[in-house]
Amino acid sequence: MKNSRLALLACLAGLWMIASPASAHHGTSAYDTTKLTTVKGTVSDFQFNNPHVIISVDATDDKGKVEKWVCEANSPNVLTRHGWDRDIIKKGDQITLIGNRPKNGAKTLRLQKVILSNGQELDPNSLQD
Amino acid sequence: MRIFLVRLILALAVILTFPTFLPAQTVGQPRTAGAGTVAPAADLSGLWIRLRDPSHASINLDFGKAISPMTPWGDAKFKAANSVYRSSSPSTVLSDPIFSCFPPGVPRIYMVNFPVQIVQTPGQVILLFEFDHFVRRIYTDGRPHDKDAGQLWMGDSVGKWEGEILVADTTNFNDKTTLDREGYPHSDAMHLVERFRRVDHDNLVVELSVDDPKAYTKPWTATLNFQLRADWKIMEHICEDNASFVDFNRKATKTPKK
Repeated sequence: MKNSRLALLACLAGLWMIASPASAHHGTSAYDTTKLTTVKGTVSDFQFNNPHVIISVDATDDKGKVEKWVCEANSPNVLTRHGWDRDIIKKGDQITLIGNRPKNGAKTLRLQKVILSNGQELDPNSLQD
Repeated sequence: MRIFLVRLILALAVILTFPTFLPAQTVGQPRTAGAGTVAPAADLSGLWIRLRDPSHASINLDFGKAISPMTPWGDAKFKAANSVYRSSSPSTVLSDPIFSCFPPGVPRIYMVNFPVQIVQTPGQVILLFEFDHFVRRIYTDGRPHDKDAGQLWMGDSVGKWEGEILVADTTNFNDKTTLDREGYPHSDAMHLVERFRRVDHDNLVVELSVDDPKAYTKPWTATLNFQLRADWKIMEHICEDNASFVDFNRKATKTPKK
């Protein structure tokens, strides 16, 4: 993967966020919570619905092959209270998704962070103070 | 013929207006309410969101160190639930009953990342949870526990005011729920007491005490902190509408083909 610096920062952020509400909600075992995976691509679908917001992206690997990834975030009920709305991500947007990948190697992520094309960072998890 | 019809109609009119044929105004009396309905001593109403425990970096879905040691019965139940929640079995994320839309029970209904709206009436304090739109009614009209209620997912709650503190007493639980996302158990003998105190306009503290000798060696207490969110509203949240979520997680837990 390119963007190794970003991946390193994401890993450091991920270690801090290891006890995320999403992992507790789902049970951590199906997902590898020891490291973060970064996926950059084009949004092919954005489902802003309960129970979980789903972002689908087409990502191009090093060899130029397109991979389809599906990423899961929190409930829209939670996300709308932390700055998200249903128009914040649109089909065709260039996006970076950082999250935990399942241990079985499926091309899915449980999201820990989203970076939009304008550089804005979104945290899909809710951190009540 | 016409006279006969007129007489028939008149006769029917008399018969049908005879009190016996009028529908009963009351089908039966409601279950006897207590005689002690009093106005609430404090105002707990509002929309509240639980804050994280200070010992956690983010919102916690477990009680952590508050829990007492378990009895052998409790420990066996905990290990069974926890191992399923945490195992690498393909059914991991699908095994917790709340993902099959069963009620989470109390106090687990608090251990979710969704707000609760408290509404007060003279004889009831009503908790309207956003999480799968569950409702708890705490009867404050002096009635005793419902001895005919049997075992319930959410228990039977009655309450009284001690000064400005609402003391809710809940019994009649089944043992089909866990206390939190870690799988800590309770038995059908659990006796739960919650003390609701609005410490200031924006903050509500709930001190809950679990007395369950079948599951825990001694009673224990945990404190939950809630904050007012006056600009929020209760949003729709329908557990059954989770087909995409279940499918997503099934894909994530399936063993890939060789």
